[in-house]
Amino acid sequence: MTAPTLTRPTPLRPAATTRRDRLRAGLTRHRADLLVAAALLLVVGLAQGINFDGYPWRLNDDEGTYGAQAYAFLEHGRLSHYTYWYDHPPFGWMTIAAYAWLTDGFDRAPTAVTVVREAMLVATVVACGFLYLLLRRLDLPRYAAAAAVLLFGLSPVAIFFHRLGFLDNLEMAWTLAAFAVIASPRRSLGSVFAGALLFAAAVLTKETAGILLPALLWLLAQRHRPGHRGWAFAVFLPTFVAVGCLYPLYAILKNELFEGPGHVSLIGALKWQLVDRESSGSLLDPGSVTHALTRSWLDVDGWLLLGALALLPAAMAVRTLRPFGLAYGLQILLMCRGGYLPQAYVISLLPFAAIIIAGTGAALWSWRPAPRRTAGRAAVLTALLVFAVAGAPAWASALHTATTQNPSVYSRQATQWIKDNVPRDATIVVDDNIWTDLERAGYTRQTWLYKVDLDPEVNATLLPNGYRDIEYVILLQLPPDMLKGMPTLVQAIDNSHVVTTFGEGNAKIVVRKVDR
Amino acid sequence: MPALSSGNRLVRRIVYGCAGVGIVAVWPSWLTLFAAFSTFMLVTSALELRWRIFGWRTPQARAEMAFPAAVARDRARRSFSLIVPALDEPHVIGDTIRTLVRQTHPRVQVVVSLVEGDEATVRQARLAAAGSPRVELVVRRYAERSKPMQLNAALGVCTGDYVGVFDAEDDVAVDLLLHVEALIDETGADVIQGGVQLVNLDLRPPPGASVWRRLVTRLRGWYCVHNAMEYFFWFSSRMFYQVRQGFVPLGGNTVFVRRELLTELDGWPLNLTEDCALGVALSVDHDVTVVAAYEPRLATREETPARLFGPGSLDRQRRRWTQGFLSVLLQGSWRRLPGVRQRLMALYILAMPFIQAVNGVMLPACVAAAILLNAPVGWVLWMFTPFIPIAITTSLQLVGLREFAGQYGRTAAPRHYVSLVLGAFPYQLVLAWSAVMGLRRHLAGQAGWLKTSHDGLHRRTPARRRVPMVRPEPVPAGRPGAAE
Repeated sequence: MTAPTLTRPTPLRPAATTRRDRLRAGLTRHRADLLVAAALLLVVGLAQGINFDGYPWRLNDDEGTYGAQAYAFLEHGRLSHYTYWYDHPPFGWMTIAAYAWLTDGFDRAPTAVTVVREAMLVATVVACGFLYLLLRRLDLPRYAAAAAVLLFGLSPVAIFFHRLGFLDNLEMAWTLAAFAVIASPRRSLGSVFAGALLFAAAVLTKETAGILLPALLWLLAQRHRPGHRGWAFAVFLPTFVAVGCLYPLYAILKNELFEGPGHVSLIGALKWQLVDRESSGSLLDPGSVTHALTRSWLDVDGWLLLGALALLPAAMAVRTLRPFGLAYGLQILLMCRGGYLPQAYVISLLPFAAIIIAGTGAALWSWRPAPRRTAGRAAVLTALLVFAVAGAPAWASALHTATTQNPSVYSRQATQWIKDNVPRDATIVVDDNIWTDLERAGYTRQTWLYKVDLDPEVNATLLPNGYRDIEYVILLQLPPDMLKGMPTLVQAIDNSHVVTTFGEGNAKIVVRKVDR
Repeated sequence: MPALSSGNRLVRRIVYGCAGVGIVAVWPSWLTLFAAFSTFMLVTSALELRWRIFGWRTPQARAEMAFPAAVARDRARRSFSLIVPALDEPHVIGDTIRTLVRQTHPRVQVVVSLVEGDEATVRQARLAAAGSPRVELVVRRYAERSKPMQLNAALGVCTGDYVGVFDAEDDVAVDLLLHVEALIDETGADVIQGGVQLVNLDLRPPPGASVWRRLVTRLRGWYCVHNAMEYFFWFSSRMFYQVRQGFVPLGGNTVFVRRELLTELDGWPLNLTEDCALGVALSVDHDVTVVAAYEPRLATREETPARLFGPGSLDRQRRRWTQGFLSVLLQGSWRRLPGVRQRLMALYILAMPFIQAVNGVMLPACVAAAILLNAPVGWVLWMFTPFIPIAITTSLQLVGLREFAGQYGRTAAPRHYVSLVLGAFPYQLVLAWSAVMGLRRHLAGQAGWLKTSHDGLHRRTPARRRVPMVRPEPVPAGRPGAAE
């Protein structure tokens, strides 16, 4: 980290340079970085963008849920297509709605999920830009910054998860922007303010970003020396807290902060997320869901996640990398604690893993004095070689799969089948991935599968006779334990026959007609 | 003058435009009215925040605030005349003269401007001046007493290249002038504004006071810490912003102006805030280089007014400032400033007391409206947004107090921090009250001088035992930036 250049104090005079001068000077000074960054963004943009809608398949209907919520916000000014119950703060789908509005997304794209995935592509490219900026501001060499961006953008886990319409992808774009801005080389309080706003945006996109607060504060403390640090915190904390308070304030105004009979509540939702929601178990327990989920991530690719874990102690020895080591380590610890682990959790691990690997590599490469330097360079070269032989082919094949296969088409085929064969007033149980598309096609009684049993309003208005009111159930082949706690839906499935199916394997969609 | 008329038209258009938009926006309902007020508060409190942060915005900016290293005594080429206008200041004038005389700069003339008939002060000044060739006393009779007249009387006998102003109760660093000279060398400045800081966080209880009396004095002094922080941020931050913008209402003391410039202008404008008026006149009509510098060690130390209301109080001081600002505003020379931005800035700064007053009154009104009007959620959330800059400002106040205590060797007790948070709004209301009363005085055509009284609270030993409750009305003075 360079010390701020404290030039000989020159008393203030009216500014002599115009904004345009400064912009031009900045562009000239950073020409090399701008070119490198542009090339990287192009590469990552292509790798993520080609066939983004086709692969992965519509494996999780959270994508569709955020699309439906964005659509509800845009079309009806509401926060959800059903009763908003504080599952997540709404800023994420507001962002998606803003993107859809700017690009006329819902009218243009073939499915609502496509719009959501487009927004993810933009978010990933933006996140890569800020990641590069962040690493350069941490005084890492260009090659290290570039390596981090490539790891973050091209690893098979990244190719898989960054394409999916998860709030975590938006959250990470905001978070990386916050980190990059906080690392401002001028150490300006303006950048602290902007960083606080960006981080508040991240938390209002997905509340789990809060776990990264200690890391961000550590970076803030590192960047501002004692004497200036107090000012930095005095700007950061109230900005972050006050903006973050807009969310509970919203709940208070709706009279939905505290739990109570007959209404949803923020506290109730938080309690459910943190306490009541069924635990996925600890990472350390081989029989747990968490363990299985982690295995599934590692099956896609282990290099990035395990590499970072192995290098974590080394990263903690490098001052500038410590906040990022903390961010990574804290999240791993959280996985060991038990509690509910969402499928998309891995997304918030990725940038920190990339920073740890690239940063530690750069530190080893320029390790001094001379004997260490040789050892360091040998280690880096060996690692690169091993990866080239053992890792790179799998990465290439993952990239090939992602850019050529199109299992998402089954979901689209199912939607088309419904449009062709099912009357517009039929009661159909679907997942959110096609909910919005049916809504736009004029269906009035399509029902999101979770609402069949869990929403009293839906029960009363659409399904007064229980499962007998359901005509079709059109879903992925769901594992039985996902249907726990949804008796009406189970009854409907049990009393139905398969009409047709689309696709195969994980992506297989089954169309059932209920026998009434 | 075509430039003038087009500038006028522009400002008029902006004002009418804003009013028009405001009326249209407000027309439909109470709700839009309060939302408009919230927007106004959001903008003004964000600007306030911007100014408070400006001097501290980067480590480099902080370093740039400082004075350059002092010139060596034998290298000092310029001469300085320091004017000290005093009226009814027998308790503090002696010490002030003695510190000014001790200035390490080799060429200093101290001109003490006194008022005939103010025997006690004149006597103390004579005593302090005795035996020092550096001091000159100017004692005049004034039909109408005012600080600018006293300054102008003293200007006649000044011989220095630069004329500085200090108030009768100021504690001035002895090597200040050597640093000022270095700054002039470096920048070729025509005007230098140094720092001024109120340093007492409490009122001083009378010696031997009972526990009860001490407690009451402490409670009565709740405003001191707010007042001190106002000065702190004004001189360590806002002054630099104004310098950057090219519109600088100067402070009332620790300001140094090239003597030729002052002579050209026929001295200080006869205004209730002569310092502000001088700054505006210089910014507008003379292409002068104004430079500010701030360093705690070199800041002139002063005291807060000894009471909140009544004669010689903070309230009276602010009424005078309001009136002074208002007269500069109405006099309108600021409209000759070159850029739209500068004109808006000038308009904003001069209207500041009223903007503060409006905010002080509207804040609770908006909160009440948000609760009582049963507004849609989006509106209420919008009404909440001004609290974001207000929250940041409050936390900056706390850090500022810690910084201040460290820099000035004062102890900031927990109660001071508490007062800073809890008292922020009441303090705002006091300022709003003073602004309204100042406006009333102006409308009633009262142009008398409301003087602030000084007890020497900033000095380690009490300068006087008892605060006289009655002081002769009309008398002179200055504003933040205007200590007096």
